[in-house]
Amino acid sequence: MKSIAVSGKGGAGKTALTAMMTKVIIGKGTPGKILLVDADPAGGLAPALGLSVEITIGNIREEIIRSVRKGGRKTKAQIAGAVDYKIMEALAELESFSFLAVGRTETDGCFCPVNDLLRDAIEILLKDFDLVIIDGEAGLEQINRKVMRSVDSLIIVTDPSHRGKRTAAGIKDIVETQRLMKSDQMALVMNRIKGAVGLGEEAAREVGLKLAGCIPEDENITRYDSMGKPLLELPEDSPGVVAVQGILENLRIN
Amino acid sequence: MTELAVFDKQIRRAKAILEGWGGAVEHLQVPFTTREEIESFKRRVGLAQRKEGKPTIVMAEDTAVELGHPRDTSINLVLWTFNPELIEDRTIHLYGPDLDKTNGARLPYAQIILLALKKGFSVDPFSLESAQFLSNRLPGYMVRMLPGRLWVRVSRQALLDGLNFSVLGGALIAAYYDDFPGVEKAEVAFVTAGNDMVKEFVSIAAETKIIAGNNKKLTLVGDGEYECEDLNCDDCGEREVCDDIRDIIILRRKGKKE
Repeated sequence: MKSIAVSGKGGAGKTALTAMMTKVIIGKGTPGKILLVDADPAGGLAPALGLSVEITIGNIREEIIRSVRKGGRKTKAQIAGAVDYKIMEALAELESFSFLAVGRTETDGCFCPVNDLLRDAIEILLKDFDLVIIDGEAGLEQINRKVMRSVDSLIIVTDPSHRGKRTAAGIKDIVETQRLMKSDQMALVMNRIKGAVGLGEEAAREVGLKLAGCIPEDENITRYDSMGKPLLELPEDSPGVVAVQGILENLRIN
Repeated sequence: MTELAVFDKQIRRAKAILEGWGGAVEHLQVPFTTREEIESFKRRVGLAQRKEGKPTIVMAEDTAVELGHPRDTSINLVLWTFNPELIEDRTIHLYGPDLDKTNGARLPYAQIILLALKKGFSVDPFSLESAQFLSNRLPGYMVRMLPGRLWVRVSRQALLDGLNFSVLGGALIAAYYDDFPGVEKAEVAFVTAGNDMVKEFVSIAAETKIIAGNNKKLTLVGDGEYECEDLNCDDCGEREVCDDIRDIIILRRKGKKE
C-alpha cells in the first residue's frame, strides 16, 4: 500500500491538490483500490469530490465516548465488535475510489485511547487499499492521531505568501525534530504561482525541501469552487490538472 | 460461575415461526457426522481455527452478496438450551434465496443459531454469542456486528469457491462443535426472504437481550480482558472513560487474532 499525506497552511490549496491528484490517478486507470481520507476537520474534500458525508470518524468517536460513559462491562465487549461495523459504515465506497472523513471532535478532553482504538480499526481497513491519499490540516496531529503514523510521501503545499512558506518550514521542522510523522519523501508544492519563473525553486530552497512542482493560478479551480462543482470534473487540460500530472511524475507516485 | 439462563421458550417460538412458513423453508443436512468428516469439511471450505484467522475486508467492488446492510433489516440470535429434544442436530433451515442465486443482491438477513448444551456445561455467554460471527475464519466472508445487527459481505471469489448457506451453516455448526465441547447439538436458520420475515424475530431478539443481559453480569475471564474497574482518578475526570476504552482495545486486539 502506498500512502500520501498532504499538509500546509489553511487555504494553501491542499484539498484542491488532493482532488486533482485523485482525478489524474483515476484518469490514468491506475490499477488498484484508492482510499481518500479527509483528515481536515473542516471537511472540504467531500464537496470537492462531489460527495456528501453521512458518518465521520468524529461521529463514531462521540458515540464510543457516550457508550463508554454509560458504562458496564457488557458495553465494552459490544463496542469492541462495533468499531469495525461503524468504520465500515462510515466508508463511502464509490466506483473509482473509497472515502473516509475524519470530521470534527465535539467532546472536550483528550481521550487519546479513543484515537488509538479508531486508528487500530482504520489501519486494518487501510491494508486493503493500494493507495491512500490523506488531505490533512496544517498540523499533522489529526493524521497522526486518527489515521496513520507514517506515510510514503508527505507533500507540503504553500502559496507564494510569506505565511504559507513559514508554515511549510514549520511542518518540515515538526516532522524532522518531533517525529510526529514518518515519511520516506517530503516535498514542497507551490500553489497559485502567477508568472514569475523560479519562484517555486526559491521557496523550496527557503523552506529546505525538494520542489515537487508548481501549480499555476487556475481560473477553472476558482470557478468550480465558487459554483460548488466537484474538482474531479475539471477539464483534462486545465492548467492545475496538467501541473499535478507533472508533480505526480516527479514524486514517482503515478 | 453463575448458572446459565436458557432460552427454551424463545427456541420454541423461533421454530414455530419457521414451521409457520411451511414448504417455503428449505431444510438441509450438514455433510458430516464423524470427527474426520468435520475436519475434512473444514479443510474443504477453508474454515480457520479460532484465533488463527486473518482480518477480512471485502470491499463493495468485490462483493457478490451483501446481507443485513445497515439500511436493511438484520437480526442475529444465539439461543441455547439444556433440553436436547428441542434441537435438530446438524440441520440448516433456509427461507429465501441462497447465496449462489443472489449474485449482486443486497438482502435483509436473519441468522439464528440454536444450541443444545450438555447438562452442567458452564460457559461465558459472551463467547457463545461471539462465535456466531465466524470473524476472520472463512475466506471471502466479512462480518461486521452491532448488538442485534449483523452485516455480511460475501466476495465474488468466495461464491465461485462454492460458499452458500449450506457451507456457511456447516461452518457455524463445525465452529460451535470445535470451540465448545459442551455443545451437544447445533441447528442453524437463515432468512433472506424479506424484511417482514426477518422482523418476525424481533420480539424474540428483544426478550433474549434482556435475559442475556442478566447472563452477562458474569465475570469474563482470561488474559486480563477486563481490569479492575475500581480506579483512582488523578487529575483527569475522564480517566475511567479512557481506561474503559483501553480495555476495548485489548478486547479488539485479542479478537483480531481469532
